[in-house]
Amino acid sequence: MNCHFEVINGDCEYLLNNTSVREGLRYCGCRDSRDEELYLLAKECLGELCERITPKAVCVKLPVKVQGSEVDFGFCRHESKSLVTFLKDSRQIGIFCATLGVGADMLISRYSPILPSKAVITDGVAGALIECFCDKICEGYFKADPRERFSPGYGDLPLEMQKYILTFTDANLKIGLTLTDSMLLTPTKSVTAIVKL
Amino acid sequence: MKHEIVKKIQEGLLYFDGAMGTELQKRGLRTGELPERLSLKNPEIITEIHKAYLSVGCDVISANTFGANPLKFSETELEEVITASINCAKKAVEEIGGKKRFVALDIGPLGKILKPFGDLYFEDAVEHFAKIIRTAGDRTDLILIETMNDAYETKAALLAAKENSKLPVFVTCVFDEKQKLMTGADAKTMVALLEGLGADAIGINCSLGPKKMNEVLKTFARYSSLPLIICPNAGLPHTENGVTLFDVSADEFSQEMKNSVEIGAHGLGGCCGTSPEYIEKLIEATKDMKPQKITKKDRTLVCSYTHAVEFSEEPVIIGERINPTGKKRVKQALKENDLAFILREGVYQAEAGAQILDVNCGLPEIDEAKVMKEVVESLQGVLDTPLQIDTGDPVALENALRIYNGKAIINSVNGKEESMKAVFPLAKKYGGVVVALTLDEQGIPDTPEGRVEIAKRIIKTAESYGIDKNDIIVDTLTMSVSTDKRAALVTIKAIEMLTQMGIKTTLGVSNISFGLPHRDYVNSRFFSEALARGLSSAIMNPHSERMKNAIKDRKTTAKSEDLVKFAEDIIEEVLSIEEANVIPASSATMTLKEAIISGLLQESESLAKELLKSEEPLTVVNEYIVPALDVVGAGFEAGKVYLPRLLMSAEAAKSAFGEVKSVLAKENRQAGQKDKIVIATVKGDIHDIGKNIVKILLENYGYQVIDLGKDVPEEKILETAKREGARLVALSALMTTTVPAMERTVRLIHKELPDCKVTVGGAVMSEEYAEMIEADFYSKDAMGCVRIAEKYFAPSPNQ
Repeated sequence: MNCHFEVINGDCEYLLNNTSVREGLRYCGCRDSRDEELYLLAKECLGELCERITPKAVCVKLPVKVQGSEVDFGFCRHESKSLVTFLKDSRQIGIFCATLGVGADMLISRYSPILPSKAVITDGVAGALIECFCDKICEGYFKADPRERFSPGYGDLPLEMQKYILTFTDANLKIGLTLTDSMLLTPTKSVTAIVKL
Repeated sequence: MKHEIVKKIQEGLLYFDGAMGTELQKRGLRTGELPERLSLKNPEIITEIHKAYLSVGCDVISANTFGANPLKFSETELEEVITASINCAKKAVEEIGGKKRFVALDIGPLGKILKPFGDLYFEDAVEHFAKIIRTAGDRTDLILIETMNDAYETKAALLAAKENSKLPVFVTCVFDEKQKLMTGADAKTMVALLEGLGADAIGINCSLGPKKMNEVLKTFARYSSLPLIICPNAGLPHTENGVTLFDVSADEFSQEMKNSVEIGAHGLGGCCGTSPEYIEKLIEATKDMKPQKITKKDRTLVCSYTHAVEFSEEPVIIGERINPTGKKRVKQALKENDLAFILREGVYQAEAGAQILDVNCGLPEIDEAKVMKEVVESLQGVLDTPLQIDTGDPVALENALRIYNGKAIINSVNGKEESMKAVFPLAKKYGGVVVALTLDEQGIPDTPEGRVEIAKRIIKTAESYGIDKNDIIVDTLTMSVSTDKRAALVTIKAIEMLTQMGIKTTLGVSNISFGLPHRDYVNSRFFSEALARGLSSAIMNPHSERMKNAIKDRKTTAKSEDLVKFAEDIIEEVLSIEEANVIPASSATMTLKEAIISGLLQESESLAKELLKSEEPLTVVNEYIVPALDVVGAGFEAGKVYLPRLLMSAEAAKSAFGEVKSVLAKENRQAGQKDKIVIATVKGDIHDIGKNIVKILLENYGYQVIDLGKDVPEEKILETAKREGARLVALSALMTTTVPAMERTVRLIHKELPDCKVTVGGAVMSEEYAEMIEADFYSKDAMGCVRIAEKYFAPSPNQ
């Protein structure tokens, strides 16, 4: 299989202006975001994050074959009813790995011992940031609906698939993304996803 | 004896090969397939590519071992792959013949991020690299560590090479558009780190095309005294009709590489997208050029894993506060293994402007070598401020230097033979700038000339170990002017003499005022005098505005002609100032309880301080702090207060507790702490925010929390619970994949410590899961964990 892998450098200014701070606050447990002080604090965290992150992604488009509940990606095969349901009739997909880089993890670690509240908010906002970056990749690169993405770990698609995606896209060398033995992406603010094209 | 290849790259241009990966793809290597296996399956293809590069004039070819590491191959296959790859390269050299060629053992990244941001231990990384190097033995001419994108992993690889081979080691790293490695190090940092660790040639490869890479090369050329290597990509990739192409042609590539030679490169080659054609044109374009002469750069650099600090015109501030001498709270924290307190001291100093942090863990009652390692590891997990390792214990020094992610300052060596014998071999092995104290077997000379003599002797001895004089900064030793009015004169004159000799200096400024009132004032006056005479750095309190102003105003500070009179004047001045009768401003409108509920950190601290003047410490805790926490805690449980707010109150309470602890430490009393709880994120999980939240709340409620951090093996949790006699262990896990580790931990504790209970929590946990893994308790959030502890530790009615 000869695929073209595109490496994308995220635009921090775009992410600063388009990341939903309220979404970030929701990630850290604030269901009601009328607390103006927390909102301003989260805004500050977003600003600090955008100065330190190095958002990068590697993207590829490829065909898949579906037989029953098995999806053949060419570089690996997985049984997954939920993925088959997600794909519907689509046989052309996009795969991407995206990361904010270790800058986000470093900032969260720095706040952890001195201001756990700020560490929690930074963590939540970083979650919203990577989502915003993923949406941008879907819309900008794949010209796809950002809601139409599916990640290993969703439904019955095993987390182990991440291993194959990382090897296939050479994400370690291209964007510095790695996997721990327990299938956790590092840097932690990272996503691997399948996009329906 | 200098290796032939080192001599060659120092004196002339040395040509490396181009891409292997893209050449293999042209020959049908499938995406995702490990290229190293081809050395076994299709050795003729690998040999053919090597020969193609050799036939256009390459001096150095890299064996097909880039990804051959123990994380990707079994031990047997690793050996087979490495042997076959080296054989392919050697066969190619033999078949092409002609001029002398060199085969490199090619080592790339392991594909994992090191702790604390990943799950690979530094020592494991060193061992993985060591295995590759030992397997290859001396069958190659050099070791080429390349495409490295993280400073720590690069250090691990270089250290492994130095410890397991006598071959020359060349190192090249990948810089991005922002001229940084993926984990943040800039070029100046990598120069400091790699030169310190003893690389023979250094440089850049991959990611960028030649033009942008030349910009990074300029920084290397400005700071490095080593031969420089540049192996760019053929620009950026794009696809045409399903084929990946690169946007810089062989002609453009070779023309731009002429600039690389002008900038100072001695080693030239290519990376992704380059082919024998690129290298042929590169050689053709540059072979008649005269490389720049390699010059020694007289620079004193230390670095963390992101940035370097240079000792030059601007004085460097070294934070002094992580040191138990005279600081009861630090002493207590070190004794109790309260790393969080040490980390806070570090972060606050960095925020106050410290560019380097001194780290001293010297207490007779603790295992300094062990604690030093833990403190350095923890500090570099939260801060990228370079560190100064301050210890007289060679084992503690080596422990710290080995795991330190950067080039540290070593504090200190002195003129005694014994000291130099212990310190210099470590400085040579791990790199570092050494603080040289001007004392020897005869004591501290009482003349500036005497101190300068010792400094010169230390520098000369350092040179015999291969340590450059730029890597020595001299401390001319500060003594208190209260006991000897000539003290300032001797110290400052010695600074002046050393500065004139081009030697960098440092001082532990605060000693000057020992035994005097208004120490900050005395320190800053003395500091100004030393700065005016060229002092390069100071170990000082970065929170002192007076000291920082002394730096700001140093260019306009007039030197005192008579330093003895200067000291006498200061002493007279400070002894005549009456103690200021300052009444601290208090927030009359707010109570401590209200300040904690509102999450106001500074107000809580100052109100607690005020209260402690009239109330017993335990009264402040039980009648003010805990009731405030109860209000917020109940609000959180009722869903009216959100997590960040709960934490803000917890932080405010913690700052109030800090004041209580300070009062108790001064009176040599212990806080009446409740029971011990061991807390940890289980093995395999590197999330710790949730665990930290639980920890701060438990501490607020008076429990003694022993925090083992994240990714903690079950044995360590058991061992700690056993040693500390803890009756409750709190475990956190965020990933479904780490629940088995949690289960193993629960079972182990139940088996070995039947009286100890385990409570679990974390995003992935539920009541059902907790039951399934036989945990004793489950809580859905941090307050829940506090309630469990309260209930569990509550005295039974019969007691």
